[in-house]
Amino acid sequence: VYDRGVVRILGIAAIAVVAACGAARPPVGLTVIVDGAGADRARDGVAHRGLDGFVVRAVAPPPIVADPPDPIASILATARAAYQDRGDFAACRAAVDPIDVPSLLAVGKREQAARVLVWRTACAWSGLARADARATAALVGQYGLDLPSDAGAVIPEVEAALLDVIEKAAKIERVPLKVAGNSGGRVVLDGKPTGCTLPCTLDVARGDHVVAIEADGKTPAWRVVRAPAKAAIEIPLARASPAEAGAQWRARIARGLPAIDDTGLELVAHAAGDVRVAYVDADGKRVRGALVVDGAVKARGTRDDGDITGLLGDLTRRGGLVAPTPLVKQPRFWIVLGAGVAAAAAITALVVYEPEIITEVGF
Amino acid sequence: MRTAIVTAVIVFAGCGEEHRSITLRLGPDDQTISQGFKCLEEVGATALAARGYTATGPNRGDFVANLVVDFIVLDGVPSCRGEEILAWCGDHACEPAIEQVRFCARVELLDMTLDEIINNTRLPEIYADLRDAGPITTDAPDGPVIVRAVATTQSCAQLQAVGGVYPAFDRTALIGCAYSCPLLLDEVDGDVQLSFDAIGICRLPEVEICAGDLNP
Repeated sequence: VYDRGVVRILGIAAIAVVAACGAARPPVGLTVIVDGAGADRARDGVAHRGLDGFVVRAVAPPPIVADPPDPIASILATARAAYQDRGDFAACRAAVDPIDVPSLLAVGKREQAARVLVWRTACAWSGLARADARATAALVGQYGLDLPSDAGAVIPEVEAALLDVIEKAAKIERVPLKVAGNSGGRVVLDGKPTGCTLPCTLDVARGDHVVAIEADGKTPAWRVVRAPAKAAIEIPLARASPAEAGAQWRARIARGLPAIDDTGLELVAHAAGDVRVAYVDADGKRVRGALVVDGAVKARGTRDDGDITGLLGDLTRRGGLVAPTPLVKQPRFWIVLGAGVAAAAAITALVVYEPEIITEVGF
Repeated sequence: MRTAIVTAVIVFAGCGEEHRSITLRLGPDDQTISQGFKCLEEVGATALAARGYTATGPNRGDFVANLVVDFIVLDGVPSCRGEEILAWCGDHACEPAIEQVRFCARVELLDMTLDEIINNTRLPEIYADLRDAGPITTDAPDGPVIVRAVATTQSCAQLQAVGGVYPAFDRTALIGCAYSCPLLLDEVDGDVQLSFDAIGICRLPEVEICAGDLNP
């Protein structure tokens, strides 16, 4: 009986020791995006000091990416020169015909699309491909495009034909077009934001249209669809690349949306390309930040003392990345306990205390 | 917080000691002396008080005696009945608490008759002499005691402790004795009166028991 009791006590003690000490967790990666006015120095500080239990990688927020050079403008200049200066309508068509107008509309370049269609119409008309010219001109009306200033440079017959299709387009029968897909996706029709989010039903002119879907964290996608359609149009979206997510985060800020609302944080964390990402805004004495784990915002915090390492500690604790400090290891616990014991002792002493009585006896 | 600590310290410091004062009466009130000081010799009708009396003229004389006050430590709390006190002290060591200096005060009443003691007429002078001697104690014992006063013609020097023990009173010098009920002096509120249990005339043997630490 004695031996069994000893073994049991030792077993319980061993479990208690293991539970108390815990297996040391190997450090895990944490990407810290430091933004704000004092970001550079703060980033160096974070990288230098690190954070217990983490391999910290301090990075800058996604950069603002400049738009790539646009070849369409030079192609249009080439076509215009061939049309106006040399009367070389074949060269003009060779320049503008390869341009994919729906892809321009998919990214919202409606004016460029209209210019391409105008020159394509003009070059086909003057090249005596009248049927092609009429079909191309019809697209201007079909897509609801405005006539660009280039229309003034083409021959009057072409301009009149373009104005005619625009006028006729207004009379085309309107039909509903149902669009389904990822909830919250924004629908763009013929390069023009519709203001509706998925799922929604559009009121469109009968015929072909370019339907594009945009959503935060997703790669935009588009299709040419014919209205009316028998079923709802669905355009699946793929997860955006980190670069795309960074660009979307910048685009949101440019649109006046907050940088670190939940969507903004999810984008910037995705752009950082890590599972655990902390975003810190070190703008001035007050620092604020948030922690994103697996694409979801887990914690937010603010410190008025400017202590970024402290803020990261707060975030990782609240976000569940590190176990909270046991009560017995918190100085505050011992201070409160000590004060409580002292107060209890003082109260007890006051209650049970009896002063020494000195009695003088005399006559 | 700081204010609370300071207040607590002040409270503790102020309440560290509580001072009280007790007035001892040699009888049931301040106008009467106890029967224990009016006892007679073992035989005859002579008052023991006569032992301190020296005639100075026809029917006049001076009375001189010493009054010794002790705190008899009881090691318990018997009732106030004389028989029970005697029984208690028969079974327990009822001994005077050893003070650094035993209270012993000289009482001197000049040009008087012996009857004046018996009739309490010189009591104010007795109290005046006793008060002049100072307090009986400045810090009474904490435990239960009986306060006992013995009048004797022995000198105060003869009655001080030797080797931690008080000498016994000389029965031939005894004049009177009275004692209080068992009490805790620290809890007494008011005066302490001394008395002497006697039905009828009291005599020397009874005084001797009183002076002999209440042990028959």
